[in-house]
Formats: sequence, C-alpha cells, structure tokens
Amino acid sequence: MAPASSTQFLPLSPAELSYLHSSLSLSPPIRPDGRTPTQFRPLIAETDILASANGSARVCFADGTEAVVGIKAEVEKSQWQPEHGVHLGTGGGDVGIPDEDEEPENGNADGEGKGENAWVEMSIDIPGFRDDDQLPVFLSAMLTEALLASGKLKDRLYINRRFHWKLYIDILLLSSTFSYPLPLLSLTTHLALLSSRLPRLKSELDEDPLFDDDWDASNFLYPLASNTPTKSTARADRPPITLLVIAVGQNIIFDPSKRS
Amino acid sequence: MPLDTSTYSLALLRLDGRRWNELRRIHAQISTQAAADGSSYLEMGNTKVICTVTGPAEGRRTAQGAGQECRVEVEISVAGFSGVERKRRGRADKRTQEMQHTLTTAFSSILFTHLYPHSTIILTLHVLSQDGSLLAACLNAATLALIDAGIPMSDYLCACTAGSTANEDTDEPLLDLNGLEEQELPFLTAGVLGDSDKVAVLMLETRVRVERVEGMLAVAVDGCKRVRGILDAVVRAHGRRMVEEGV
Repeated sequence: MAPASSTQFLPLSPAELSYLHSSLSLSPPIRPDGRTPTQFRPLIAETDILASANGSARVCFADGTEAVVGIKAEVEKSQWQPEHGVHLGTGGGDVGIPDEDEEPENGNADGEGKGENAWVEMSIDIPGFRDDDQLPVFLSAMLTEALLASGKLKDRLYINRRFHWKLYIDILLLSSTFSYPLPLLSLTTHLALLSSRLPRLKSELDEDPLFDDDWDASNFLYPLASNTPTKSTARADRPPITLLVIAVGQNIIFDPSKRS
Repeated sequence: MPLDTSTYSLALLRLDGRRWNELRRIHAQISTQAAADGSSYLEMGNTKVICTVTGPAEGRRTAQGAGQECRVEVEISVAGFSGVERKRRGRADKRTQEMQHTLTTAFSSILFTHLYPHSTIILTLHVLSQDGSLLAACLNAATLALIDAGIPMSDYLCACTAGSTANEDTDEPLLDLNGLEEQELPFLTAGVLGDSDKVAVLMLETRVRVERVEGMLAVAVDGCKRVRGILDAVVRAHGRRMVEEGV
C-alpha cells in the first residue's frame, strides 16, 4: 500500500534480513534497539514554538528525524447553501435574514453536522520530493482522512451561516526520510492541533464575525478536558494519531524503526 | 498598510522601542538535528530560520563535471504559516530563487571549495516565521550550519540590514529593520566577512537616494560585526559544551 519510494532505503543482505526476522519472531521478540514490543522510540517534542501560527509543534526523534507543523486558521466566506430547500422558493435574495424557525438551530452555535471536509487543508513538504509526488500526496490524504473521520473537528470550524474557519495545516519534514515518516508527522500534527487556539468570537449569530483580540481569552481548537467529564468523552475529543504497527510472524510490534 | 514613521523624529524611538543602532534579539543554536551533517536554528527578532547542511557528498549530477571545485546548492522553503497571512510560496517563486542564488554565490566564494572536488554541499533552509531581514537571517543561519558541519571557510559571513528614514531633514540610518519597517523604508542587506570590512553580499532592492547609501552601508557593516560577535559566542559556547560533555 505504501509507495515504493519510501521502502527503498537501507538495503539489507539476505543474512541480515533472516537474522532480523528470526529475532523478531521469537517470543518475546528481540528488537535490534532493545525496546519492548510496545515501546515507542524516544523523542523530544515542543509545542507553541511560533508566534505567527495559531498552533505549532516540533517533534524530534532520537535518530534525528524532525518535523515542524504550523497550523493557521483564516476566516473564509462560506458558500451559501439553501438549507432544507426552504429558500429555493423565495428567490434566495435575503441571505442575511434568518428565518424564525431556524433561529433555535443557529442558537446552539455548535455547527453540528455543518462542517465540510474542504475546510481543512493539509500540505506536506518533504525535502527532495516535489509537491505532487506520490509520497507527500499519499501521506496528506491519509492524515486528513484520519482527522476528518470523527467529524467533530470540521463542525468546530463553523462560525455562522456565512463564515467559517479554514484550517491550513502545513507540515515540514526537516530531515531526509530514514524510516517511514507517517507516525512522526501524525504525532507532530496531533500536538500542533492540541496547542492551536482560535480567537474568541464576540459577534453573534450571522453578523460579520468580530473577534476578541485578547489572545488569553482565545479558545483551544480542541477544548481542554476538564476534570469533570468521564474518561471516554475526554478522549473522544482528541485529534487522532496514526501509528505504524508491523506484524512479524505471530508478534505485533509498535513503531518499527528502520525495518520496512 | 502605510506605517506612520513621522513619530520617529520626536522621540528617536522606533515602532518596537529600539533606538537607531540597536539590533533585535538574536538567538541561535547549532547542532539542532542529529541526522544532518550540520544544522542550526536562528532567530532574529521574530524571523526564525532552520538550516541543515548535507555534504560535502557526491553530487547528484556528476556528469555535468563541475570539475575541481565543489558545488554549493541552496534550497530555501518558506513555510505557508510563516507570514501574517497564509501564503504558499512555490519552489519557483522569484524572490526565493533570488535568495537561493545570492546564498549560492556568496558561499561558493567563501568556502574552500577547491578542497572537495567533484562533490556537492547542499544547504536546506526552512523559514518558519518571517518578520523582516529574511535574507540576513538565512545567511547567518547558513554560516552557523556550515561551521557545525566543519566545512572550512575563510571567515564568518554575517549579515544584517540597514534602512533609512524617509524624512527630508533628518536623514538617519536605522539598523536591523523589522517586517513593518521593511515595508515602508528603503533598506539594504549587507553581508560582511568576519571582522574585516570586506562586503561579500550587498542587496538593495528599494529605491533610495544615492547620498544615503553610504550611511546605510556603514551602519549595516557595523551591525554585521556585532552579529559576528553574537554568532561567535554561540559557536564557542557549543564548542565548550562539546569538550565538557565529550560528545
């Protein structure tokens, strides 16, 4: 499934390969770097490193692979969509006037089910690859799909019927690809999303959006889990992480390092 | 967005509270990335640049036969989130290409390229955040990364910008412009070789009266020497740490 270009490095001789394979198929498996099967590689992570982005994060694995993610949100005009076909008959002229029967629906301001997939845009920059190469396109499609799967993120980008947030997620891979970069990128994106904040909305309903310029009053894109909710709801609100899991013989191993 | 520079003559303080000859905070680290041959991270105010060096290694296009000297290749990528508005710059962007060219020519003449025949040094720069003095920050970051990679070069190449206030009567040069000032005032970027007065890079893209250039250049060269002091301190601190920790 993975593009072939990501698996071509680190050629191993047949003898090395068979040694690796047999040591990994033991029970318990022995990994060349001495980790237990479910252990992750050691890493350094920081968040909120950039002032000019809504959210940012940097993750650095011990083997030197490093990625930076910046998240920027911009207000964008939504495309006018007639809801439930009610407006089709009235000519669609009075866009700004909400109907009375729709008032309670706007009142909850959650934007339940109103988000669109196009509101999240992701781009991945890997040195040595062009933007339209197979690997970056594949990775961004995979990460975006995981991000939008719950459907809650895009609903939170809803401002009112005329405006929405457009979320730009830019991923920079700073080092050349030693291992398959998906877990690193996913982890960095996860941290950046957790740290990203949107300014607090001051205007109401369908007015032109007006925001509080006090950054301290801003809301986190993924609301912080307070101590009241149960564990399951707190966890449901977090951005996804994609992990690489490989299977060798009977054993399932987390986060393979250089063995693809 | 027009910027009101008229208040400058009243208190002689700039928008961010600096005087005419003050640099912004420069913070730099080297050896930030273990996987690269050399790497650095540099902040000049709110301009943040990461640089990694690969090489000297066998080039991708050896058939071209660059001959007895190594080639210097520079890749600059400006992140979409680096500015105030999100704007994606492609690789074919004219400004980026010009900066790449400037860095390539500058470092080709400063590095001892004759020591590495038939090889290539690749400098990769990522601009994470930009707020003025972008070319200067790229040059400084590249210098640090090349030092970290241990590639012999004749001296530090330190760069800095200088501008000139537009008032008719008070024609004063300013050191190290930030993004807002850069939009409004004529400015030049100068890169100076070490402690000498040798100017290796000079870039002036805005229109300015020719009498003012000399003053601006003098201030920029002076600023470059102060930048050199800061970069030198970073390199020495790193060297001391390496000796102590035995890394």
